[in-house]
Amino acid sequence: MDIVFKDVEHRYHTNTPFERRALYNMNLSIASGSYVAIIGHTGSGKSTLLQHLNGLLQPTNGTVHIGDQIITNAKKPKHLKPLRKKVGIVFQFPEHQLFEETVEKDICFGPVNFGIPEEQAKKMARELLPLVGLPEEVLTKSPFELSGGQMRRVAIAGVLAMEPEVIVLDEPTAGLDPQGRKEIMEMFYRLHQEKKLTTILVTHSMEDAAKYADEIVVMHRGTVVKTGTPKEIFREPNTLLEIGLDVPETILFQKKLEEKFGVTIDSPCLTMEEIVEEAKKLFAKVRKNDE
Amino acid sequence: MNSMIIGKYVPGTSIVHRMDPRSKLIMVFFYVFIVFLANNVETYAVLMIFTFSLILLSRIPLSFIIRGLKPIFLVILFTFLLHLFMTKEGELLYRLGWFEIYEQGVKQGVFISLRFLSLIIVTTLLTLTTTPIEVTDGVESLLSPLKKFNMPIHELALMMSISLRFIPTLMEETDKIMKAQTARGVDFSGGSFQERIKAIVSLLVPLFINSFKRAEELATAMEARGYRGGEGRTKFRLLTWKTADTALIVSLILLAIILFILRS
Amino acid sequence: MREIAVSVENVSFKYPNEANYAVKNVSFYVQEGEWLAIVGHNGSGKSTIAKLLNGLLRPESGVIKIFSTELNETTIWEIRKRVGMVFQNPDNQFVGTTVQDDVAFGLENNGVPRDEMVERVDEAIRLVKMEEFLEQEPHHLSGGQKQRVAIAGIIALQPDIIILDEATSMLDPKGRNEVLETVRDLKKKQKITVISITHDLEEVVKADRVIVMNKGEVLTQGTPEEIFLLGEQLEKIGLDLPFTVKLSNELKGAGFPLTTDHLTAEGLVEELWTLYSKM
Repeated sequence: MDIVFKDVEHRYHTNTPFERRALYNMNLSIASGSYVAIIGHTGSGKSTLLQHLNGLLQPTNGTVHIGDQIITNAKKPKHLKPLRKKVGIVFQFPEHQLFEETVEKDICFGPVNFGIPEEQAKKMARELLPLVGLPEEVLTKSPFELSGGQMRRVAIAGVLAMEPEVIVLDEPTAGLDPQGRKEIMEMFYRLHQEKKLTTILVTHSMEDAAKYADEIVVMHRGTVVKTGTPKEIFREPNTLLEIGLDVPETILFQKKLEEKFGVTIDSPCLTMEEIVEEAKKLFAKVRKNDE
Repeated sequence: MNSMIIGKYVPGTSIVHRMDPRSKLIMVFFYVFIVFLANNVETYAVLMIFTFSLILLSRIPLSFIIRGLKPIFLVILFTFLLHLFMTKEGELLYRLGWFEIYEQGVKQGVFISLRFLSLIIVTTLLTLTTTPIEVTDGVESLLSPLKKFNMPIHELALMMSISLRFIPTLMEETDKIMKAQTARGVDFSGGSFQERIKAIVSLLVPLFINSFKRAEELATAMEARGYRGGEGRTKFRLLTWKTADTALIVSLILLAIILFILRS
Repeated sequence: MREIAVSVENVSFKYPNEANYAVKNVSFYVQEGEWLAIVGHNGSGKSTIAKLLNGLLRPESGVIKIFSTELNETTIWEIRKRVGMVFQNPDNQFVGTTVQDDVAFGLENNGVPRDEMVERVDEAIRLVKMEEFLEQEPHHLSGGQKQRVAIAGIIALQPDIIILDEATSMLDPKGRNEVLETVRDLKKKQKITVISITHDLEEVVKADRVIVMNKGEVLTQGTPEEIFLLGEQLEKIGLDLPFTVKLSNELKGAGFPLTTDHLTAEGLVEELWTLYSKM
């Protein structure tokens, strides 16, 4: 399912003194099967943007195409259920959405709402547990007996069980410890690769954006200021630094290295391996000159 | 719903805004009784002058109040019509078949409506010009003599102020959970009775659980900051009784006296 | 000689209805004016320690002393004045309806006279640079701003020790910087001891000393440099290593004869340059 935003604008509380423009002039296209990271400050419009992806919000102007569904401001769109099944959203702190008596029921809640037979949903729940890193015993437990990290995994399984074609992740690792962060990010990347799941990641972590995304969208004050591959985005780190965003530590290190050695490295380094390679090249040059 | 102004606060610096919440609370309390002194054209005229003077002093646009009270007007209209048709005293003014309107009916209808209206306006004016926390402080201060009888006045006031502080937080949270459940296929606006129940459960359970967790964490934070009940506590918020407050109470007494003299 | 601000001797604690000890026979000390980081994965007992230090939890055995005053029933309120805590969730520790009300809360609890209270509230709010928001309600503030207000509420009580109990873990990078900047600034201006319970690497790297917790016990303690030398051992218990430490290791693996694992990018670039020049 391709996703296209055309001149999208969103205003909250229209026609009241509290009117506020959260998005404007948004043009964006996300190809089916890609992994896109959206970066930007809190308040840059990221969360408003992601609520347009399954019709939780309608644009006040412009159009959003999601597959063959078109969402405009014209009328309250009906039959959004099929769309919502196809676009799963893992909200920030998704453990706050759990409510059923057992983990199994909670995982099945989404799929059953979308008309998947209960037996099939249960089967899916069982299959998903190892994927999200939970033991099978938790199925019959209350989600509220679990630790915070485990609750988050249950919530994620609940979204995955809907078998969406697109998954939207709003800072899925906020508040987790380093180990938990790594496990969750790796899991989504595996899913993306194995199931060709279109993945849209909203994140503050430049490392994650650089590591996993095919494409990065930079948002600032309600609109897109830049899009491109990680290499393209981080090639000119100054654009990001100017709007107060971080850049990956590899890039910062590269900058320092370049300054000290008085050289320019053509390709931005996004991994440590790349830095090691560049360092080797630098040192090799000297050796050559010596010979 | 959005235009409803009962319970809303409109920031301002008018003399009414700056009055001590205690004087305003006392005023509203006694006003409720004083209103019943009015029983003829003169007394109702005085009452309305008093009420509208208060609105003028508060510098809140009359149109804003009228718009905000629209839903109330329906109720007033209903009471008016009820009295209009049900009172069969005085001169007969109009007849159409079984439909009769008497002089007393019109009078009663207008009087009751005005009484109702002035009560609503004065109480609304209290909340329009006083922040909820000021109301809380005022209530706590006025009820503090009851502490002698072991009434938990401080605790009640603290509960009120914490509730006030958390209302916006809970609203945001409700919105978040609703969105998360909508994304999981819940339809909050329609569906069968059973589906609706399920939808509400999926909203309320997380909301309650999160609130309990909040309450627990808040209690811990309060304890860590040295909270151990009202005893020996000092107060940061200061209520100051000013000339305007005395003036308000005096004018209220004058109103009562005038009404008492003029009433028939 | 600097005074010992906190001393913890053989402290154990178990939550009711749980089989394992959350904190088992833990001993450590903190010097006056020091910045100590306590790290460990979720459930390692590090937050329990924070709560033990100002009497929110009582140890099953062992002794906790704050500036040589033993923590017990009679000293607890005095100690709470001296040990301020900033918690994880910015919303769930904001008691007042406005910024200044919240900062005043601790002072009200301790019966500080109003005139003095007003002064101390003003001063504390100025120290965390929130003076523009005096009358603001919490839902109009960002997470970082709320945490700064929480810090102001503690400073107003003029404590000797501030404990940051994962105080930055729910914040975005901007909020995190705001809070750390505020605490650093504060440490420059006042003689204050900071204990930060965290898994944020920046907080760890900038600390004077680090304690690593694992399964309720102190695994090791030392300067950040010493701690990160453990490398894989830390990763095994679920902790991350700073980028430059990892990069140093990678470079060593690729044959660069580095002498140490660097904690800063500057240090690493500097050594590379030295190696380069010698060639």
